[in-house]
Amino acid sequence: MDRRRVNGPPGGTAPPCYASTLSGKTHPSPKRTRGANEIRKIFLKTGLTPSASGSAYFELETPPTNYSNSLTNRTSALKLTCTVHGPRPLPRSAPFSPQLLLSTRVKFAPFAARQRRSYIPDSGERDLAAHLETALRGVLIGERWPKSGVDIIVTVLEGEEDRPWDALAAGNQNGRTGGWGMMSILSGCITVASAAITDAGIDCVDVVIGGVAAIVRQPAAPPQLVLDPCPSDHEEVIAACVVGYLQSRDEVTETWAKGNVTASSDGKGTTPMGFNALVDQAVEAAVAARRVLVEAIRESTEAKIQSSQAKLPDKLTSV
Amino acid sequence: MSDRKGLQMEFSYVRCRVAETLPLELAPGSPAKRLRAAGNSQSFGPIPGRTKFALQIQHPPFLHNGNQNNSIHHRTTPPTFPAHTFAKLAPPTYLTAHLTSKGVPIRPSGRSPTQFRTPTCHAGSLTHAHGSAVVRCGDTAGVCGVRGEILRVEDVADYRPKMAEEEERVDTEMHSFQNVRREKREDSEEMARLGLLVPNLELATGCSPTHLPGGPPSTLAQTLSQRILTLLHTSNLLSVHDLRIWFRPPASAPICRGQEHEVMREEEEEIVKAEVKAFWVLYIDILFISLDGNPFDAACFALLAALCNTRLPHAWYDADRELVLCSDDPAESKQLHLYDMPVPLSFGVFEGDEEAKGKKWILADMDGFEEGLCRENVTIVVGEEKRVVRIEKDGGGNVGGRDMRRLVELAVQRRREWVLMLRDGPP
Amino acid sequence: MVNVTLSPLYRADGSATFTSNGYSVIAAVNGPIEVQRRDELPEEAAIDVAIRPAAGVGGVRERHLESIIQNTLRHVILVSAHPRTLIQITLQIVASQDDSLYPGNLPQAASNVPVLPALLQASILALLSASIPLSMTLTATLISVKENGGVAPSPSAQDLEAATSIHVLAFSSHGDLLVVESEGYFTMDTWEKVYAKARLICHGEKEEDSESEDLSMDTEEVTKLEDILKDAVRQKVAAEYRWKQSPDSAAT
Repeated sequence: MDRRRVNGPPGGTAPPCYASTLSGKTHPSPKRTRGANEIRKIFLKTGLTPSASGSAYFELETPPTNYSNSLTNRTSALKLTCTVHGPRPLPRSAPFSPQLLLSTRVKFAPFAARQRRSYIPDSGERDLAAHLETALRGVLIGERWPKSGVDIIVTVLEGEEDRPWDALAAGNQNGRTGGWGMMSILSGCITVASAAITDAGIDCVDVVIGGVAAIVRQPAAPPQLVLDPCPSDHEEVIAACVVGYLQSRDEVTETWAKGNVTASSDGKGTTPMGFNALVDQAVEAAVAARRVLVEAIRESTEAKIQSSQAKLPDKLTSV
Repeated sequence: MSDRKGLQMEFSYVRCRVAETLPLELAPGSPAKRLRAAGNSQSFGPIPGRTKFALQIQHPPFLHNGNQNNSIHHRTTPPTFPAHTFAKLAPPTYLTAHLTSKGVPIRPSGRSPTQFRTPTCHAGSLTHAHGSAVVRCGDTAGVCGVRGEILRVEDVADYRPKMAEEEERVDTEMHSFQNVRREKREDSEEMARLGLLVPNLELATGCSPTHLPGGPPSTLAQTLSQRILTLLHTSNLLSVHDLRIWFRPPASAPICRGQEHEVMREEEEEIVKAEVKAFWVLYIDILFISLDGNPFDAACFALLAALCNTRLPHAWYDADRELVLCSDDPAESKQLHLYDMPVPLSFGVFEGDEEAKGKKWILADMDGFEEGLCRENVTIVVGEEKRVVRIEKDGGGNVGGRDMRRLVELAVQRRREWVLMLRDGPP
Repeated sequence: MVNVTLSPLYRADGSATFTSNGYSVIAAVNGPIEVQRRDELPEEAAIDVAIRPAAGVGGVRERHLESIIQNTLRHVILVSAHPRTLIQITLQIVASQDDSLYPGNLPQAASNVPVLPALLQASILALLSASIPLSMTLTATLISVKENGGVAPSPSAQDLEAATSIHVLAFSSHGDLLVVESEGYFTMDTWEKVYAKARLICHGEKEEDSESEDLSMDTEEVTKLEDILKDAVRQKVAAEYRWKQSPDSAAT
C-alpha cells in the first residue's frame, strides 16, 4: 500500500490468463529472420525534452510478428528515453569534488513488461544504473567541471522479454534462465545516454556505444554466435555479453557477461566460441550501432546551427 | 518572427523607462554574478528588486565577452538583452511587455491569451499495454498506458452483487436524462467502491529540471493523480458494465457482453442466471517525458487517446478450472466504449508586474514559464451537450462568477477540436 | 447548524474548531516560525498545510485538498509580511459524512470535495486566532444540486448521494470568488444559480446585476456565514476583555 499513489483494489489483481496457453495450443514462436551478424534497425532522436540540458529517444524496430493473429504472440521492441540534467553546482553541503559527479538512474515504466511493474525501484533497475554509470564514467572529461554534478535518467518505456507467454503462464522455464532482455536494455541505455550527453554538450573523449552479442542454440543444432540477440527469438541463450565501446580509441569501458561461455565451446564448430569471441562480436554490434548515433548527432547539430542562425538577428538587437 | 520584432521595441521601451529612474548604487561586480546564477539554474525565480537588473542593462560585462565582434557597437549604444535573458531576469516584466504590446496582447510563445496548444497523438505503440498513446502538447509530452488486470469477486471484501437493481433498471424503459444520470452515478459509485480505475501520474522522469527521480512522488504528481481519479469517476467516461466478466451456465451460448443494451434486454432470462465473477481493473499510468506547463490537460488528452485505443481481450469464467480465462484472438477483443469525452481546459490569471496594477489577463493552456507567474488557476472540464463536468479554481479572486461562462465557451470550443482528433484521427 | 470555537488548543499559536453540516474540523496554526532552508522563500512566508483524515492516515486525497487550501491561503495571508518564515496549518478532520456515504472502507476514488468548506473555514478561523496578518477573510459553503435541478444548501449525506452535482464555493470578505470545486454534470445556468445562492449564504448580498428572483424570497431566513464568523470572533474577544469592563471580576 503506497499512500502517495492511487492503489489498485486491496484484494489484488491478476494479469489476464490466456486460454490458449493453458490448452497447450502454442503459436509458432518467433524466429530470427536477420543474419547472425546483422543488428536490428535503430531509431534515435535527440532533444525531446527541451527543458533538460540534453535528451534522447531510442527505439528498436518492431518485429513483424506483432501483427499476427494472437495477443500472446507479440514481441516488444525496446523503447527508451533519456534526459540529462546538468552539469550544475553541487549543493553547498556536499563535500568538495574535483570532478564532475555522475549519477545515473534507470526506471522501468509500469507498462514496460508483461507483468505490471511497480513504481518502487527494484534491484534490476539498480543493477542497470550501476552498469550504465561504469560505462559512462570513463567517457566524460570530468576534470572540466569541478564541484558539479550531472544526473542521467533513463526511462524504459518498453523492455525486452525472454520467454513467450505460454512458458510464463505454465510456470515452465524450460531451462531458460531469465534476464537476457536486460542485456539489450543495458546496451540501449548506453547508446541513448551517450546521445543525450552529446545533446547536452558535455565534453567526452568519444561517443560510447552499447553492443550485445550472444551464443544461442536452437534445438538439435550447434551453438551459434549472433549479434544483437532478441531473446524471445531463440530457444536457448547460453551466454551473452554487453560492451560499452569507444571506437576512436578502441577501448571498452564496460563489459557485462552472463551465462556459461565454456559450455558452448564444444570445439566442433568452425567458429571459436570463447569469451574473447563473444566480446569481439559485441564490439562488432557496437560499431554497427555507432553509425546511427553519429547520424543522429549530426542531424541535431545541424538543426541547432540552423535555428541559432535564424535567431541571430533576433538575439543581438540594439536600440 | 514578425511579432517578435515588434516586441523588441517594447523591451527597449521598458528598459529606457526603468533606466531613467535608477539610482546607481550597486557594486559593478554583483549584477553579473547574479545573472550567471540565473543562467545556470532553470528554476531561478523572479529577481527581487527592479533596480538591480536595470543596472545590468547599463553595464553588461558578460555581453562583451560573449560577442567580441559586436563590442564596439555595444559601447556606443546601450545593448539590450536577448529575449530569453530578459525572460529569466524579470519574468513578470517580460510577460507584461508581451501582453501590453501595441494593444494586441500576445504571449511569448506567439499565442493569443485564449489560444490553446493543439496536441498531437500517436496511439497504440506500446506492446504490453491494452491501450496506449504518446501525446505532445507544445513542449509537454507524455505516454499513457492502459492495462487491464482481473479482479476476482472472491477477492473483494463484502461484495454485494447488484443483480436486483440491474433487472429493475432494464425493466423500466425510462431513458430520460435524469434516469441515465442516476444509473451512471450508481455505476461510478460501484467502480469507486471496487477501485476498478487506477490512474497514476509520474513526473519523476527528469521531464523538467524540477522533477528528478529519487524520493516519493511530488505533491504536484499526487494532486494530479487525484484530479484524474475524480475526473474518471465523476464524468461518465466509462461504465462498470463493460468491465464485468460474466459466468454463464453452459446451456446459454456465450454472447459478448458489453455496451449493446438491446442484446441485454433480449437475453434477459440468461442474465438472471448468469453471474458476475470478476471485473477488469484498468491500471492507467501516465509518464511525462517532457514538461512545459499544463500537465493536467496533457495527461487528460493522453488518457482519452489511450482509452480510445484500448481493446480488452474477451474474458469469461471457466467453471471447471475456476479461473477467468481470456481469448488471445485479437478479433474477439473488445474496444472499450467511452460514453463521453470530458475535455479539460486550464487557465491561469496573470496580474502583471508592479507597474500594471489592477490589470489581469486570463491565459489559456499555460506553458511552464507562464505557470511560474500565475497563482490563480482555473480548470474547466466539459462533456457532451455543453454540460460541465468539473470546475476547479483556487489561488486568487480575479475570475468571478461572471467570467466563468466565457471560459466554459472556450473549453467547449476545445472539446470540439479534441473530439474530432480523438474519434477521427489516425488509429 | 454552524458551531465555532476559537482557541481550544493551548499549545498552538492559534486554533479553532468548525462544525457544520456533519463535518467537523479542528485546526491549529503555528507561525511565523523558522523554516527549513530547502522550503525557504526569499520574499514571502512559506505555508505548510497538513490534513489528517478522521480515520487512518492521509493519502493522495488529502494531498489534493492540501494543495487547494495552500494555494488559497497564500492569497489570503499577507505572506510578504513575514519573508523567510513558515506558517504551519494542521487540520484534523474530526467527523465527516464519509462514514454514512461509504460504510466500511472509504474508497480512494470517493469524492473529497464535501469536507473542503469546513477545512477552509477552520483554517481561516485558526489564522485569526493566531493573529496572522490577513488581507481578507473567507467563507465557504457546500451546495448540492438535486435531480430536479433544485439547489440544496448544506446537503445531508442522502442529498449528496442523490445529487447530480456538488459544488464548493468560497468567497472573500470583499465578495470575490476565491475557490470553486464543482463536480458532476451541470449546465452553466445551474452553476450560476448555485453561484448566486452560495454568494448569498457566504457574503449576504447579491451581485448588482444578477437577476435571480427565485432566491430573493428566502433572503430573510439565511443568516450569512460571514456574520456567524464575525459573531464568534466578537464573542471571543469580548470574553477575553471582560476584565477590562468589570473591575470586580478582575479583582477576584
